[in-house]
Amino acid sequence: MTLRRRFRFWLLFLLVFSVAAVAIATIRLWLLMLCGPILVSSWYLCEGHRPLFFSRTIVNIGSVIALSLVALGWLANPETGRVMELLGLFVLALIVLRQFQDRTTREDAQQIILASVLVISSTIQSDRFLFGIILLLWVISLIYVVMLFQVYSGAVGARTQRNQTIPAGSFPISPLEVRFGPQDLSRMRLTASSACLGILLISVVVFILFPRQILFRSGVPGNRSVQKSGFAETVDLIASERITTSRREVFTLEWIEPGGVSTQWAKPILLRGAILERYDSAVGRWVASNTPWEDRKSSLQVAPDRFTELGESEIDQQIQTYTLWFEMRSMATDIFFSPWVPVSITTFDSREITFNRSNMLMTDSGRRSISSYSGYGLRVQPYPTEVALKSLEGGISSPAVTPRFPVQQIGVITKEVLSEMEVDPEIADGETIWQRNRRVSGVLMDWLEQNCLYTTDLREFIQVAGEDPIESFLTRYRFGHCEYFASALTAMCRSIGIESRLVTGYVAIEYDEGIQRYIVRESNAHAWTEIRTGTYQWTGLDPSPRSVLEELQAANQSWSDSWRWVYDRIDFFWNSAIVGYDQRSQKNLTSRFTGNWREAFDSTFSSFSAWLQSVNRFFRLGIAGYVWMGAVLLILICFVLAFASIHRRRRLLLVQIGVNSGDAAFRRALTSDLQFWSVALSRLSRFGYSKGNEESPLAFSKRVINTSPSSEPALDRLVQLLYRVRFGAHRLKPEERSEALRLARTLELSRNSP
Amino acid sequence: MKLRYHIHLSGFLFILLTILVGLAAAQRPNNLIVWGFGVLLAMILISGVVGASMMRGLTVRRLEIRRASAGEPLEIRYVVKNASRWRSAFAMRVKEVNRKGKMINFPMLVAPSHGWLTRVGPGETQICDAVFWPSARGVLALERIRLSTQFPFGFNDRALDYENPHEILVQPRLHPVRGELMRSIATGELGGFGMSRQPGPGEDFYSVREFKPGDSIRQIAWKRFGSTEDLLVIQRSVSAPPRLRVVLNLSRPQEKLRFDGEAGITADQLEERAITMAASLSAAAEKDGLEFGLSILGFDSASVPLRRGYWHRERVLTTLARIDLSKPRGSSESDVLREEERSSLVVIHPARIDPRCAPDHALHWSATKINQLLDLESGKGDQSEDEHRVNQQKGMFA
Repeated sequence: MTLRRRFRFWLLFLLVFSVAAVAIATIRLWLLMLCGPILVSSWYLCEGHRPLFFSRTIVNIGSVIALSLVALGWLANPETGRVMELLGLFVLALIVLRQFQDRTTREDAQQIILASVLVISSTIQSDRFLFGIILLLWVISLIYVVMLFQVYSGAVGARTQRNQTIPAGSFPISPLEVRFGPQDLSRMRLTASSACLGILLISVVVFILFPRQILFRSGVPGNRSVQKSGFAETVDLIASERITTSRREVFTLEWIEPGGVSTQWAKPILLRGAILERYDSAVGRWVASNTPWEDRKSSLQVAPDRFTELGESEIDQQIQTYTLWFEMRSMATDIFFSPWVPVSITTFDSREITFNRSNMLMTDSGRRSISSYSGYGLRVQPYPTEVALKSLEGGISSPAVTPRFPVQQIGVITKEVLSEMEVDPEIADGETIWQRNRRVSGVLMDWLEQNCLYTTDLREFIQVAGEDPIESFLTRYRFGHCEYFASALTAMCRSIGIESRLVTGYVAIEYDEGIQRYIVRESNAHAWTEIRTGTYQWTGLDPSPRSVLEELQAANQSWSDSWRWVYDRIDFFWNSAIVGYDQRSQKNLTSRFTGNWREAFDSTFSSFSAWLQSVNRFFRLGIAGYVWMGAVLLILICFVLAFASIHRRRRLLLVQIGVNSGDAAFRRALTSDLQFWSVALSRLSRFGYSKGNEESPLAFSKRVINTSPSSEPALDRLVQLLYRVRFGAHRLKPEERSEALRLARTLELSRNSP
Repeated sequence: MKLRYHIHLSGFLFILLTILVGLAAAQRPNNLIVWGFGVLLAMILISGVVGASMMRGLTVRRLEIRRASAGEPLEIRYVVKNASRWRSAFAMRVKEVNRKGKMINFPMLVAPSHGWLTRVGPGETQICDAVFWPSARGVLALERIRLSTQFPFGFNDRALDYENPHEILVQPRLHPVRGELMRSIATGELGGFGMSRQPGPGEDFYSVREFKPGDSIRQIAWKRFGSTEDLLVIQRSVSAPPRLRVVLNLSRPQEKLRFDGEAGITADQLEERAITMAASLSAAAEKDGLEFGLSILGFDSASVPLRRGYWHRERVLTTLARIDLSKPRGSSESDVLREEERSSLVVIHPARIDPRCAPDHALHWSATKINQLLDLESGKGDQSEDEHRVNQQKGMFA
């Protein structure tokens, strides 16, 4: 392949990478499906022996048309956010058009610049893991392409100048011969690889040290662009974008009984993330209360080595206290998801958390960073005592109020339902208000379970103008997903004076026996209702039918789920360590470097041990698993050492026989046939005979024979074989090979005295 | 020898882009942009490091140039050696520069040129060439060789200058003499075949000398032996070819030259034409086997005696190439002309003919009539043949 052809090939490769980057950044795979084959076809049309090119006029007309289309697109929807997108599309059109024209080196350089513009504009639009991988590959190919371009354009420039120096029609001069053979190419690749390595190392250093702000501003819980995990802190019944079927692992949860045994809880675990108390009927949206209980928020310093009590006074933890370990896989947020009711918390490193005593929610107040934590532990009491609740709520209960729901029609529907079920919503004699709440809400939940269909397919759920979506759900459609069920139950309870609130979070339902943990996926994002059932007590009611949830869970499972954790771990690392790297992370890193090395080593070792344990659990091999892993590790080490040794010996042999080039098969054949020469040289060296670099094997053997005549028959035979194989294209038979090796090992030599 | 850096426009633009991306990275919480900024910054650093390390251990020298002529390609060859054990040097340019580091561009060169090497491997020595096109005769003084590269990313030029002073004498341009002009000059009264002053294989008697072993008995002067009993042999003379002395009359200062007719031509150009005519006449004489010599009036240079052959022609052309027209002019008299040398005489004048400077039998040519005397257009065939011969000579002595 000529230098020009090689450069053009890699340029095409770079352009396809650029298109892939744009397609992934803008999530328009059709761009790649359309432009990729077109670009590849340019190779066959324009770089063959009979190339076909577009004329410059056609390319210019095409460029003008592309510009016009982009301008029209802008005029149709003039949003500032679309500027980079439209610019990207225009540049993409230019790249594709120019790929089909007969380009000069200057225009080749322009193609590289256009590709760079395309990728930079994409970088602004995306920070996905896959895009990051494409970007990395693109940078590597860019470095190689630019290096090739320097050599190619320099050669073309020198040739052109040489031709222009001599006036036309005068003396013919020999054209400039550009040599770029396999050895040049391998050296170029070596240089490019070294440059890539250097660039990547420096860029990582710059990445780590670049001054940054804290990614999350105060009051903004989490980075919206990153936090696409199904969970949301609002529920929008009209837009309803939250429901996802993504199987990405968000985090894992280990449920440990008081006795210290990991187990599966009897029912799905509702992990609370946000409390939504206010319903805006105008837009059909649930949001958090706009009158937060600021005075009931407590700030706590949490240490990694012990559980920090959340209550104001000590809580008796002998009463059915379970320990939960959360390990984040792909989600990073400042919210600590927790079931009702947490009594103490610990994190993997020191944190400052805010505990809201009014609703028992916890957030990271100190760091608010995406990589703030990779896990935390909780102790919870599913059935807390009044004392414990009082301690947690700081001894101040929320005032009992008679709630109202802004949509009057819901009250009417609720009363109809209750009358249909023959349930009196009023407080009966001898019944407390909390008992009434429990009784009536239970009936309403049962009614919803029995009369409404759970589905995530809302294509037929068409919003009716002027009608509240909850009302539509209860009267018109009676199907929907968890948000509709929870909204309906909350609304119905409120409409008859029962204090209730909507809760969003995750439901832990999928239990992996292998690793003895719950796997919580993005599709496990959930919404349910909490009813006030005591002065300090709230009870979670999930009106979504559990059987349907489990059916959906089972239906969504696939073989790829078994391996998702690999990708999800990488994805989590990407999100937490790369995308979410900020000022806090820099401080963390600094403190880690300046901290105690021994602690760091211990921590790394314990992490490694934990990883080994988890792998062992995954394969369910018990104690024998460690023996297996040790054996596998040993085999791997032996394999690597053997490979390195063989590689080194082969290289040494090639140097000894003076082979610097040639195709791989030829070199491989030589190294396998001429092992005897390496053995012979080694043996000769032990007896004090060293072969000089400039000395031929024949001259060397004569020198040895002069000093040590007993070696003559064997050494002569070996040298003859060497010359026949090295220069005579002779391949040794297996028996010849073993015979030569035997001769080399048994050379009779007398020690050479210098 | 100092490593020089020169940043190109593309380099400035790249630095500007890096700054812009850096600003964007500082303003926008997107870590991929930060990484992109790191990559751009690293590319600048690595570009400097790779370029500088590539230049380390490189040496260049110029191969000796034996001959150059105006109107013919001048090929300067360079030997580039990479003493490094590991590093290859890519995309190397070799240029001629002056002491100020500027690329040479003498008025006598049509365009500057440079040599090119795709790669010089570790421990390798490679030869590249640069082709120039000298348009006029004179001394081309080369001072330094610059080895430069833009590899790996083309942001900047790393260059090393090597002192390597060398002078190339560019000989005047040659044109064929028109028609039968040479024959008419060579067969004139004084220019015909004659007896040489040297003994040789001719017919005419030259002298006798004592017999030496190896002499043919046919050469013995038997009559003389009969009378004196001295054993002598007869020596014959070689027949001498026609002789031609070219006289270049540059005695008149340029400001005193009298000429008219051709619009836009200067006195300097006329004198250059005269030199070209003298060179072409000498080359034609050499080609026809004449003995020829050169005398230059107006300068103190010694006359070139009458000889023949390729190397004599080179001597004449070298003498013509060295003429510095900016020097003050001297006497118009020459010792050679006074000695009444037996040869045809052609006096070449830059402008108006002055017959007083030479004997009566001399022919006088004027540079203003160059078109009538020399074939300026159709000289390629002869020159190609000439070039071929020169190349053969080069090959023999390289």
